[in-house]
Amino acid sequence: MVDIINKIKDAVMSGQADQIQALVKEALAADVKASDILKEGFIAVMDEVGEKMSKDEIFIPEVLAAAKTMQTGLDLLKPYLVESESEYTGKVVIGSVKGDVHDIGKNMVCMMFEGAGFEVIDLGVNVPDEEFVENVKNQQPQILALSSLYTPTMLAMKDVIDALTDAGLRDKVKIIVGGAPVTQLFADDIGADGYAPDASKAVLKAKELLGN
Amino acid sequence: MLIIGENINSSSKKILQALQEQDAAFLLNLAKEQVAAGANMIDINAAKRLEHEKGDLEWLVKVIQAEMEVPICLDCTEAEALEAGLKVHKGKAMINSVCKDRVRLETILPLAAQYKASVVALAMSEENIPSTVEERLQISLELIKTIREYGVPDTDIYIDPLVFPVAVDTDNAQKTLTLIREIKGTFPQVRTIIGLSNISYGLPKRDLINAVFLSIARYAGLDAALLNPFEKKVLTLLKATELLLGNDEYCRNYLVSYRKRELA
Repeated sequence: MVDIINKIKDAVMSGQADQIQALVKEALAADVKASDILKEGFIAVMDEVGEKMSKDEIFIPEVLAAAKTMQTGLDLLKPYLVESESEYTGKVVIGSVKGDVHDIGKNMVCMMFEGAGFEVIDLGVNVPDEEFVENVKNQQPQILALSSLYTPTMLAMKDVIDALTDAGLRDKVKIIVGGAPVTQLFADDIGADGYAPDASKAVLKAKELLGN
Repeated sequence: MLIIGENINSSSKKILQALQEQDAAFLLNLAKEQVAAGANMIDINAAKRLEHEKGDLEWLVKVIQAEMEVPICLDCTEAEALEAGLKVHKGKAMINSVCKDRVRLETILPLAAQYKASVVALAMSEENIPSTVEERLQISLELIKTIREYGVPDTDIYIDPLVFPVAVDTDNAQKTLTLIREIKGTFPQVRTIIGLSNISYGLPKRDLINAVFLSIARYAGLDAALLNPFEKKVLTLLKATELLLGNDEYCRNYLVSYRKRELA
């Protein structure tokens, strides 16, 4: 069992999307539990991917290839995962705030969250305040992640937080903010719960806020 | 080729601090060093200074042009601040930038016409950064039509077809090259410009990727680039590129650089 899990890990880490389904099948055929494949084969590796990325040991294309591989493997694995034994960590609503149309960083954050077992609801870019409020209300996520890459749109993050306060929903969700011009100081100023300097830290911060 | 030095930008902490302290000597020196490294225009950006942007741009133009005859690229989207810079600018300035946004076009293009400045137009709108070649070409053609209506000649229009990182999609360099060829093929007098460094975002040894991309973009018809002139590899490779494309008569510039030991 250890052997096949290691093969899966290696395939994810090196982004071998074309091999991953065969390896997952092999593991299932050898009676490895689907939840173990998920936990040890996928989630643990994506944690490692995030860590290596923040140390510049691996680079964006390699992270994308790893995420694609995990996704391909997960497509096959999903039907085998019994709801109760899957590694469900929480739900995240995420988007680039109003006026901001950048999505590369935000998409990386999405993938890191998915890799960590979160359910991710991606609202896309240039998202109006009301849409964030609506989704917090209807989707009831534990985490709301706001992105802004562009100085003039940073204040739109505060608008979202204010809108949630006005709607009486502020205490229903933990809010993390990020993007190139964003700092811890700014996050504190606008009343966010957390700040993350990069995609892998975003997941760590979210887990910290959720107390696990 | 028009090389615009990008280093005086308020998104850098050092520059922001120099602007706050009105450190003229530091900023002037940075402009001089960029010119010495091969820039023939200097971009200035004070956007992070918010309400001080207008005063800063005017001040920077004066500070730089008091000692050098270099044209300035005013990196600003607020008409009032732009005009303050344009008013004191000597020679032909560049406005950086407009995009497909009605307010920006209506407030900035009259300034381009009035001050005979060239203008950079990004192939995007305020709401949308299109990723496909077709959309970006469509926006580029619309922008050229609109800018012409304000009486700006084709040779003063610089279309930026946008550059996205190859780290995210390895087709991204080809897309920009295709757009440069399409725009130059349709409007040979209209200029093309790129912000170079985005191509290498997320990858190691960025100067290598930047240098080769500038060379192949030049071959595709690129007229201008906003870049960091202190990336020596970029400027060195460009000299050889100009030579090979027949833009350096008797190989003069190449050999001058060689004798100055700039081709290391």
